[in-house]
Amino acid sequence: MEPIRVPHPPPEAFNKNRRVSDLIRAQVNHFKHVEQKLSAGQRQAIPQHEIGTEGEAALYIAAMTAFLRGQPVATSSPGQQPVAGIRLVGPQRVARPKPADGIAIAASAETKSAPAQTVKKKNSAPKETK
Amino acid sequence: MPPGLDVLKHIVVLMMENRSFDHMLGSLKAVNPAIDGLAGNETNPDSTGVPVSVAPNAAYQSQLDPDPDHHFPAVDLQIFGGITTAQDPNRQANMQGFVKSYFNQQFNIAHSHLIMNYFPQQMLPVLTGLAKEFAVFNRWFSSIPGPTLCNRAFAHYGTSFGQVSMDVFYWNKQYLSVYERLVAAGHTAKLYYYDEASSSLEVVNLLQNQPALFGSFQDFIRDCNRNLLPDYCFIEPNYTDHDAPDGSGELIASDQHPDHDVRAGEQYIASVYNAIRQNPNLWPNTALLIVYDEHGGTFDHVPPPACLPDGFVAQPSATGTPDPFHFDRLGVRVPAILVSPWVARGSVIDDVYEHASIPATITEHFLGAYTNRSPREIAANTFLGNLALPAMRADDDCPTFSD
Repeated sequence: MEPIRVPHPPPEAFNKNRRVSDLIRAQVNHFKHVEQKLSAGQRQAIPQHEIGTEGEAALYIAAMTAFLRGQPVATSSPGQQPVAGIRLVGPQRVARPKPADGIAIAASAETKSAPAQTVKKKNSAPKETK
Repeated sequence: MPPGLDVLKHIVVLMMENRSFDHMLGSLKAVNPAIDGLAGNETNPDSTGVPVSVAPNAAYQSQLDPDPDHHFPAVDLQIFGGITTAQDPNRQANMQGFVKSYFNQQFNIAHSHLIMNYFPQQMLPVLTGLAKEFAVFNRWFSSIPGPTLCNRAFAHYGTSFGQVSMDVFYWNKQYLSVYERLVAAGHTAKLYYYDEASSSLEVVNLLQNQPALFGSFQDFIRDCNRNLLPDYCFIEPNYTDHDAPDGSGELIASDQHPDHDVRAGEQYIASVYNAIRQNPNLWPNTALLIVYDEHGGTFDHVPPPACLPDGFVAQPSATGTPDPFHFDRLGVRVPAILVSPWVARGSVIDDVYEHASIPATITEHFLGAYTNRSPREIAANTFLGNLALPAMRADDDCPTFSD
């Protein structure tokens, strides 16, 4: 069987100045929720810049993730190598972004819904493959 | 028991972002009529009432900007075409509101038509190649007609604990995650996020409280190469364009979330597949499920079915609609593909699945009887029965990918 050729994105597809989506906004809010529980000393290691772009979100998320995983903040794991096919190699040519709409710090954690009824147990249907 | 299940040691789930079945795989109906894709005559009315046909004109990037709305009220419009329960208490899903929903974001009629575009199969050689070469699910639905985080919660816990939004700040310990269940029973389990800068979407519960469960995509590759793959692992893509933390270059988002370049996701899927496929110690005993978390507002023609209620109720203040949601129907259909050398080429699976099928399958395979699960998970179909071939496919009978 002939190998299937994988398409590649062009370098111009990369845009770390893209405004964050609702998904990344929510992810950052979740990290902010966790960050609020840290001590003042612990928070000193976490960058406190405004987050409006994907690149800005990534800087913050990297620091929080490293902290939660007990790794040095803002460094990568030693020995990591680029993964073929998903890295755009090139100079870091993107200018510092202009601050966009920042993300409000910390959403509340209230649950808006509650358990209601119990349900009847049901067996899985048999599987069928055509 | 089929021999493919006898030898199965590892299950890998790769969950991508925000594309519907028809948007990504709809073109495959022309190749295999058993695949419930697009006939080409499906339409949605635009805001002026003009029918807009599906078209094979999807672009890798720059077409779905702004990001199509996929929060609960918008998905309700997409599924029911704008008919509310006040207008018709017995309203039926008609999948006629996608264009109207996209119009609501910019009030641009021409732009709203783009939501009906789908990819011709040759633009997605990895995803469509795997779908044709292994098994494609005709009826894998997102768990909730809503956004990412509540849907992904079903893949981890078999429930979203009553949430229909991105506000999954749950502390509910009613049901353990599938990873915690496995580890408690002496099995191995991991969530691999792409890198620290992209990280996981499972922040508040697992990353905060169970950081040892996590690894990076580099760790996944390394674990594959060293034959250290856990019994079960869940892989997340790169969610942002960002500089590599080590300064070595630029890392492009591979999640396929609009408006990220879909080709990077094709590469990522191929990377995961290759890591398993190229290791003869893994390929025979590993099953890979590639699935999308939700449809991201893009068109699909199959109405989501009813399902067993979850035991929770989301109130109107949470749904953003006049009605509560009882978790008694599924979300929009998404692409899902099962890869294993024990799966027959061109398999098409017609049973209904949803993301609760993931913990249901993992738990059933590795733990057997396990009672403390959500009603939805207990009711969910499991998918390993599709590893049904009496003998493993030959090495040169399974595809490979090249750059």
